Amino acid sequence: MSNPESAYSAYSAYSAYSAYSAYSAYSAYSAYSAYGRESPVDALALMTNRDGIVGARLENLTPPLKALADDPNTLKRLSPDVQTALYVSELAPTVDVSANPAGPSPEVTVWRRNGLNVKNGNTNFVEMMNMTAPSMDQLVDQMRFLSGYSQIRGDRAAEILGQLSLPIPFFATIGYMDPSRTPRTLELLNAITTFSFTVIQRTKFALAVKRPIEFSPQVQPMIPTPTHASLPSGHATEAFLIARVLWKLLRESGAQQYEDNAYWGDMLMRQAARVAINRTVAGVHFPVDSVAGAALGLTLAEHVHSVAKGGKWSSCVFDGSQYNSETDFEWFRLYGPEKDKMRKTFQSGGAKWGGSEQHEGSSGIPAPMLNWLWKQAVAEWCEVPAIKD
Amino acid sequence: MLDSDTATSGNAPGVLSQVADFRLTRFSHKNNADQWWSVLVEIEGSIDAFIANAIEQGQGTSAPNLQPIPVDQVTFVVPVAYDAADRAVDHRLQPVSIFARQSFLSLLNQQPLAGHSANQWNVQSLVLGGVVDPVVLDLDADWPDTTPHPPLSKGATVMAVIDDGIAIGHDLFRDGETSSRVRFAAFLESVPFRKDSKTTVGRTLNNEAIDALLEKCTRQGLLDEDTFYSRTGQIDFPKQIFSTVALRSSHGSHVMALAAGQMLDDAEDERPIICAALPSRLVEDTSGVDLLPSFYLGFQMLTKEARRFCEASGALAKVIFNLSYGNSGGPHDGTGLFARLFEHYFGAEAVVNGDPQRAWLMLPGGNANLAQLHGVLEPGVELAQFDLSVLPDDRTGNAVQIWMPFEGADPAEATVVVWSPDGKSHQVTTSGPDQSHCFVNEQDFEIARLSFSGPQGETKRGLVQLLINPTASHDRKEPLAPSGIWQIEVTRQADAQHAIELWVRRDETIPGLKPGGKQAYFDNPGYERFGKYGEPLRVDPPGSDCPVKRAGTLSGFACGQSPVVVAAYVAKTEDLAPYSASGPCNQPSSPAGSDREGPDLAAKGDESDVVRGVLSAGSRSGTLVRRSGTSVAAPRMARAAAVAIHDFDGSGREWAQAPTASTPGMEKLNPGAPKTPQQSGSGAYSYPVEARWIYGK
Repeated sequence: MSNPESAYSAYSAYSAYSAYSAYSAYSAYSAYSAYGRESPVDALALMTNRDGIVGARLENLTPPLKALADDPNTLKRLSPDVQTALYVSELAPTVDVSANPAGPSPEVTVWRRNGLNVKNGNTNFVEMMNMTAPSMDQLVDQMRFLSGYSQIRGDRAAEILGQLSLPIPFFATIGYMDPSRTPRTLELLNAITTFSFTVIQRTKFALAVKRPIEFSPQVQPMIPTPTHASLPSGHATEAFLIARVLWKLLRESGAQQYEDNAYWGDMLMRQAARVAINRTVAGVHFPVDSVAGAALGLTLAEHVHSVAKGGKWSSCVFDGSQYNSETDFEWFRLYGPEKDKMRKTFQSGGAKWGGSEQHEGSSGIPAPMLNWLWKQAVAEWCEVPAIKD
Repeated sequence: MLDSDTATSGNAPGVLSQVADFRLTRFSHKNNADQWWSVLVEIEGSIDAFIANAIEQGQGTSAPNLQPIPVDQVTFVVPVAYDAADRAVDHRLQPVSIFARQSFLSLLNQQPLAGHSANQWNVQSLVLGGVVDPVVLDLDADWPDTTPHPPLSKGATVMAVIDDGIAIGHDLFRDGETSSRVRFAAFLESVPFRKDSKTTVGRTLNNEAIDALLEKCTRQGLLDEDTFYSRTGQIDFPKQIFSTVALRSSHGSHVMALAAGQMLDDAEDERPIICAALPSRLVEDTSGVDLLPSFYLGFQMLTKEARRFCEASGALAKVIFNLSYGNSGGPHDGTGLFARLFEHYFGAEAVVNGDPQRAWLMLPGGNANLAQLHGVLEPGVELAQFDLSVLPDDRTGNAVQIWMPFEGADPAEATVVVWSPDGKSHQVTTSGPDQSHCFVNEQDFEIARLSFSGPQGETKRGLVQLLINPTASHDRKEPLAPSGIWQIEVTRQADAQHAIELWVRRDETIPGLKPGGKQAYFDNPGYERFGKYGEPLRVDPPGSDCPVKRAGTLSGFACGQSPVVVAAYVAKTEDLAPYSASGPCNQPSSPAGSDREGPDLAAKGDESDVVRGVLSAGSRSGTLVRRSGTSVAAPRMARAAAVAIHDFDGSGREWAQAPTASTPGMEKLNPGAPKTPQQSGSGAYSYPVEARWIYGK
């Protein structure tokens, strides 16, 4: 059976994931049909209607063809909630999390499943993301940023409130997304953020970094401080996960404007950084939380891509205890969109506090449902081919 | 613990500046001998002599041409912007912007020696600026670069802007993706460069440095402006360095773009830009802040820099200055220190090291028309009462200036009586020795001061000042003044020939920051705010005998002889904006005064009564924002002046009398609207600027 001893085991908690389908603010089919849903009015009409037309029981039924089992081609006929659950069922077992709270600084590791040995059912996990919490002294140092950034709350208020839920509408102004135009892309983003949510919460829980509000009575955040811990920043993780996955989709589509120009990727990263920094403006995060969140989000993006398509993934280290607490969050220190690569070394202010290394993906087929979804999503960014007679 | 001065009534302490003494003795500054301040001193003789004299009397300073001394022995420093050549010049009188520790400041503020016009430090007058965090000072800075630049092209004009919050990376100030038209930028409140610093305060960047930063921060053709402004030093949150460039809209960006912004690929005339950004800081000084020392320093820097530009002929290039700042205090007759700023550098009696340089200065007329900050005791009137409303929860002090007539004109004595809201009163008479009386609270701490200083300096007018403590404080121990109506009564003989003028000083809160101060104003019952249809009255109703006036609210800065002063009009109605301040100025005045009656001309300040302001650069490339006021009218005229100065041989003010003749594209508006020369000078003029950015050529 699987090796890791954490509670994040492979198939036990799916029922919980379906609750997170409501997590997406850009829910694709919520207003799909006013009629035909479960409601007393509809049911009564359907009942009386049947009485009127059903007639005597028919004999000699011809069955339909047997359904394709476990075939991704049938996914498109499933409702969005169900689709999400299925994608997450592929993603969730690809990671596990272990914590080491007792060291000099709390530490957490996100492990990546490195292939499933079909013969004996053994799985092998390797380290993918290792994070160490900064010290309380470092966080005290970072409080200066909170008071500085609070000066621009007036400027950012509308954005901060608009970004309380998943910032898809903001990304949709850069990558042209819409439920009719890019339904698979939106489903993909929904699935990966549902997946990442649990990883984020688990790592926050393992590192237990306190929020700015606990350090000073002067923070007075402009939005309620969430009850979960500060680092990594969930908003930063999600934003950079979305941004990098979108950038991969755009690039893989082969459309010339994305091929020729990396400014699309740069703009997506700027958007992610804006979402992250707005949280510091709001008073609920330290800049270092955004650093950790961006590192995690960028790593998960590559991981998701590797699961869906096979191919490279990166391991990443973020050592908060080495972070120069006088420095601000600057995304370009972690990643460059031109080659879609994370930096080998993360450094700022004379301190080295992490880095990444790229690895070949494990052999074996990529996850079938995600693979289907990914390909469909990429196609949404290509030009629609002309009809050939 | 601390206790404030238990000052006594009677004769004034022997000081040059009552305001400086009042501020330095306030609760928040007591016992701060090591605190650094910016201060403007008018000195007799040369700067070298001033420095030598100070050193002889036990003070310590540092300069590139002096032996270094330990930092804790440095009590003052003259910025390197006054280089060796500047320091050697022996002026009759010159204003110098310096930094000094509080221990030296109290000495610098001593009254003149008997029979002399200056004190033992060669100082004739002093204006206290603001508290300075030593983190922005560099006592080891080197002299600034003065090597000439390669000649400019024909028709080029240097645009010099002093403002707050200037986004130098905006695309309207670039002529290439990583090529800036800003040839020099000074940020007066930044952490100095660790090496090769050529400024005593903050940072200066030349064109190479700016271009290098643009390159470093540009990726995929996009400038990362958050990072850029942190690298220029304009924003440094951990060190509490803040610039309004961090906000979406910043005053300096907007103004500078109107004056000199050009689209990146738009080959208009060459307009190299030099600029200085004033400090914006998070430190709250409850005694108030005066920007004058910073202005002077910025101006000194830019005049030096401007002299590095020449035309193909070898003559110094022409330069247009724009300072979109106004105030309400000062004698309003051209003799005030700021009003004399330009004259000192470019006026008829300017002492120049080398060839004179042709320069015009644009100033806003001010927005205080309806602010109820001005009162007058007219000739022939024996008594006038002014109800100064001092607001509660006002965390900075307030000040009223009462200017007597020019001493040569009207020796008639007046009496000023002030009642505090809690019924205490003091009075001064405007003749005889200087006087100073203190209002005290129940614990006997000074909470306000009424003083009289006799005629002196260039202004030669007696000055009564009412200085009031804050009415609220976060510190329980700070003595507070009562809020409410402070009644000021001015009386004198009925046959007096000239007016006595009162102005409430503007609480100079730097925009974009935590406001602590509230503006006090004259709330006289007889002041009519609205007309019979409920509209705010833009001019004083005829026949009104209320001593609080809209006339005479022109910015105190803008009363000098040479500047081109710009009022604001509303484009849709072509009427003057209701806030646009007007003359007359305070006449008669000393010979050092000006002949000005009001603004020189008017330019657009708003599109309409409901679409306020005009569009110009926001803080980030590719953005435009709206800002209103005479501050945005002035730079539009600066842009026009940059063209006209080549064709027109006279002064800026002479040009402003009939500007359309030498300025293609400039049109005079229907003269039916704005009225008298005191309100709008020679009239209102349109000049296209932002339409080009929005609609193309």
